Amino acid sequence: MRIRQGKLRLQKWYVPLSDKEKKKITRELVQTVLARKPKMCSFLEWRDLKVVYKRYASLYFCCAIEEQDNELITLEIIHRYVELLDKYFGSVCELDIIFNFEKAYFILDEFLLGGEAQETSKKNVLKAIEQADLLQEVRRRIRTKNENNGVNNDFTITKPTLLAVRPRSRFMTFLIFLLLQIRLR
Amino acid sequence: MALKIVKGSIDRMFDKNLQDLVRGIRNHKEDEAKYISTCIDEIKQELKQDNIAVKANAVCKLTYLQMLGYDVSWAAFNIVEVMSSSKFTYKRIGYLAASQCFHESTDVIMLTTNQIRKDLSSPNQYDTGVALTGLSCFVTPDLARDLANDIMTLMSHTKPYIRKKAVLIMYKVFLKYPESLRPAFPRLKEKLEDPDPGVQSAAVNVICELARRNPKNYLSLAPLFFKLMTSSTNNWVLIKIIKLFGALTPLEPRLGKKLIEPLTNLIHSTSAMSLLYECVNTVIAGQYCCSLGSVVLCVQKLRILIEDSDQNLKYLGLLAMSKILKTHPKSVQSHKDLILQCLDDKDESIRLRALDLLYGMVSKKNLMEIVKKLMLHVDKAEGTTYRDELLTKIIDICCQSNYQYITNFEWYISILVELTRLEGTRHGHLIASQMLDVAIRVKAIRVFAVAQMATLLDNAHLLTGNMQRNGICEVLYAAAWICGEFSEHLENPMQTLEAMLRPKVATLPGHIQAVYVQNAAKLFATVLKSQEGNTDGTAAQETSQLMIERLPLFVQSANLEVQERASCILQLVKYIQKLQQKDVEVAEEVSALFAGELNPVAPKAQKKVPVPEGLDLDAWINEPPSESESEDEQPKAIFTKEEHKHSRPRHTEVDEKELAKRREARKQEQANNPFYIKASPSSQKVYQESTGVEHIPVVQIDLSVPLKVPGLPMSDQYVKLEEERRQKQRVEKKKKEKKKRKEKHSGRGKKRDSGPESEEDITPAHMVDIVTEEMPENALPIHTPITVCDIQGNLQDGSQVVVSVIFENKCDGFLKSMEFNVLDSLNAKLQRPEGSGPHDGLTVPFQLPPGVSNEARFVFTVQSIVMPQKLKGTLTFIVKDSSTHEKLDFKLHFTCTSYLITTPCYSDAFAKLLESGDLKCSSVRLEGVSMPFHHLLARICFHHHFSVVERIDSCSSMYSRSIQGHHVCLLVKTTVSIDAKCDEPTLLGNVLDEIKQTFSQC
Repeated sequence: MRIRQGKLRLQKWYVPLSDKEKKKITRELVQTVLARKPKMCSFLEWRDLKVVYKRYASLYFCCAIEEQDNELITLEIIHRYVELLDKYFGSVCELDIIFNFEKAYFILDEFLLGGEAQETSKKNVLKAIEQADLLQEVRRRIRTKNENNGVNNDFTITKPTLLAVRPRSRFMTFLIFLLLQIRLR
Repeated sequence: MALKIVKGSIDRMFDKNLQDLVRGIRNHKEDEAKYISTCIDEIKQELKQDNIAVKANAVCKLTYLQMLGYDVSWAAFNIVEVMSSSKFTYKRIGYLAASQCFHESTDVIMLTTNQIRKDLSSPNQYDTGVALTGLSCFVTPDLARDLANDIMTLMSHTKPYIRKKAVLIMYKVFLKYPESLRPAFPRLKEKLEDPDPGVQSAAVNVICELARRNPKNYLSLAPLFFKLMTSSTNNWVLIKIIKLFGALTPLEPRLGKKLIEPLTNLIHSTSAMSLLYECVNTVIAGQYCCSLGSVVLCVQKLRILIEDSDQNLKYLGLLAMSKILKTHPKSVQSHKDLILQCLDDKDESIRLRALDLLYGMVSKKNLMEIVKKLMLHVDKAEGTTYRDELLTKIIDICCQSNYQYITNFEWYISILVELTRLEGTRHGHLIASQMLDVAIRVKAIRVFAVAQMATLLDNAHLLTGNMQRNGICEVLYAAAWICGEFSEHLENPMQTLEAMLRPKVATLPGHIQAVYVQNAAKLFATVLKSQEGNTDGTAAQETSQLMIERLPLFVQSANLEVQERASCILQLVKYIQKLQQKDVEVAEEVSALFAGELNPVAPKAQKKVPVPEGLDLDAWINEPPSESESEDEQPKAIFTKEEHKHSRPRHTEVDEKELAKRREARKQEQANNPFYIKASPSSQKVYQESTGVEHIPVVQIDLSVPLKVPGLPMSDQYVKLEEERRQKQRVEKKKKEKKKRKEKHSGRGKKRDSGPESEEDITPAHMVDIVTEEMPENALPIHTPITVCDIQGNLQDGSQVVVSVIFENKCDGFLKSMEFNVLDSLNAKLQRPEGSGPHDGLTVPFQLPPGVSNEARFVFTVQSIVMPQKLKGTLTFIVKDSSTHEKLDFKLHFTCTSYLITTPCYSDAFAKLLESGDLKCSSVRLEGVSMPFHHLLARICFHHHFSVVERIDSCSSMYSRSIQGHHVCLLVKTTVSIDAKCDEPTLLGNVLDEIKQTFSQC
């Protein structure tokens, strides 16, 4: 029996919290989001925050925002991030994110800063990432790519994965992603 | 050296990289923890090596493990090492690890300051970028303080990429180190007009967030943002700006008027739902609601959202709708159809939202229809959470505003009974309390309710069928109580009695059993009564036998309450049985045990009970606990500071605030107390609204009617007191008059028989005395003394004063053609009918037979009311038969008090008034006054038109208002000193003088 439990693929916190708290919040949030039925709307009230989530294939992206924040623009942010991942990796799949999780973070960091959207142009984000990548050792990148290709067939993604972005507390007014979680079987 | 590098690379080939780690973890599903612990050991080894590439790889793996929930705080120092690598590849990983793993209490952070500063000033913009990104996650107050300057410099960097990041991170810095805000702000403001749209939007973001925390500092930026709002096409920026205005408008209402147009334009034109939603939300939340048109527009747009097939839009539409409902229920109510449709939605969260809305949409007409629909949903609902939610909503909807919308209580009772059929609900007690409430308060429904409850009791086994989920059995509590208490309405009390004594009852929770036992006794009394009435004693004896047989079950109960009640009643019944066997009629006596009807108590009932003499309800019974004393705010000195010196220990010196607080608490308590009927919504409204002085309910005082000022009970009480006193006084005056004829007297139209002597002698009707001039020796033997019984300001017109004059004919002749004239002064003029000259007299509209008195009123126009003044006047009349004109001179004394109008004032409004600081203060001591304090207060109320705002044992605050709207506040203390405040010092001085005079006369 496999435990129906989300696994974290990415998480980003824009409020300083202790590890213990982070774990607790993550666990609660994953459970709440996974309990939602597919046809339900993407918003839910959770503690004093609003959670906005969206499922892409096996991944859930979820964001906790504050009371006054705009749910629809948060949804847009999630979507834009997914588009960025897609452009960068070339039709992204969950494994891309697992094996290149640091890249996923770099993209997120170029897109959002301190919880606030810093660049709304996809082109600019990708340009910045690519240029930064150029500074990296070439060898390392090639190796990564090759191994990925080899591995891809070993896994079939059957279960939804959770990729969640997490809340800011009342101390941090800058918006949006606090933690990114992904889940796989 | 070269060899070393080569060796390092070779080593690395054998190390696990991140991909290996991930793959490894996936291959070791069964013993993941064990696998990871070996990995961590390896990582520890790798970290010990000098090679930075190895270290970076290790740190990268650690970051992954951290995300999986493993503790990596031990590697914090290694992360710092990797951060300080000169190679971008490693630096990037180091910063990523730091931003994921560090938090404020990570102590190595303080080692990073110089490294970060170096990176910030790096010529490579990506070094700077990565440092800024990292910093945004782990900035501490120390870092913020040390780096604020560096980041500020970066805000003017040549590359927009850096500027943008620097601007955004400044917000974090402001939060951690607020002192940096002032120097950085001008530069931040500059960035609003940065040529790069990304930087501009970053600056908007930051200022918007800052403004949401403290809007008033950013009002000056409103014009700039207004320009941005009308010119920008970037939805991200627009949303932020609209949010910003949302925060600013409460401070500057004029902004709202200006914004309404661009906002409605946006609502009309935008295709972006997020922007539309933001605009709608801002319009709703802001005080733009002055324009109904915009609300209607919002509701229309929301309707489109709700009708959309997208669940998200539907949800948000309903959410926003419920916000409008609070302010404009009417405009939402027209969309009832739509909201009822949403109840059928497959998404539970949407259904719940729709339920919220329903609460505000019911009216008398549609309540039944809506509830019927909800009941259908209750039947269909899967999952207890949603069903419970439905149940509470049904009850909420029905009982809102004191059952305002229920036209038929029989219907409501049947709804409640239907709800009891829900299996496994948690809300049994809610239904029960509703049943009790309705049965007690709606007398007409009792017959029906009792019948329904009897059926419930009879079928109790259906409710208690499943003991695991017995929340619903709480309704049996209500059922048993109602059947017992109103047993006279039962059709077949015997059957119900039997139902209540079934052995199965013993499985119910203790508190319900207790109610069963007690009410079985009540029923027993009723049954006895009916049986003794019509048959021979056997039936009654059988009933007693039944009780005696069944009660022992309860006597054995583990619940003390049940046990105690049962054994008491058992003994009683045994005794009754004995009496019955002797053929003694006992029914009367048994039912006497439960005689008397329970009645609901109105919230104001307590106020009708007079407070006994010498009982002070606000005094502490015990000394207040010391902690609470320190917590309490020190009461503000509302009058002079000297008050504190005089005041007695802390607990007696209670100021308005404190009292208001207590009253609030009391009100709260009453609201929660089921034995108080909640006040009707309208009267509550009055209480809530009366915060400002302008809301003080003003009552026109009609002289022909006894003074009656609705409002505070305290003041009410005093007004009554005055009323009585005034009557007593009149009586006394009458007596005096008899002795001293020809002298001035006071009197009103009504004649009264002599009443009991009043112990305190209140001097004649206040401020105005008419001084009839000395009569010439040869004048007519008896004149017409006239008395001004009242001078009363006119509230509608700040410059009008009405003078009521009583004319009494004390001579033997018939008086006619009376003319009343006053010599106008600059300040006060008699109002004469149009067309008459400034010196013409006014005809008194009646004639006076001998011994008769009558009252006439004259209106004066007064310019300034701050000074008292005297007017000279004459009355001419003709005594019938003699047909000569007689003349009588008098003086009319307008005191300042006569310009005051008794105006009730609530203490919160009063406190506000005093805090406002517009009032000048003054004080006076009354010498030689030795009357009880409440008499003193009554006197001030009566003579000087004040009302008591609040009375505490040692002092009392009083309020009055002049016809021109000056507020006069007094604080009268038992030490017979008066502190006073008024916005017009001259007026105040004169009023105080008059008060002093009043008391010096007695």
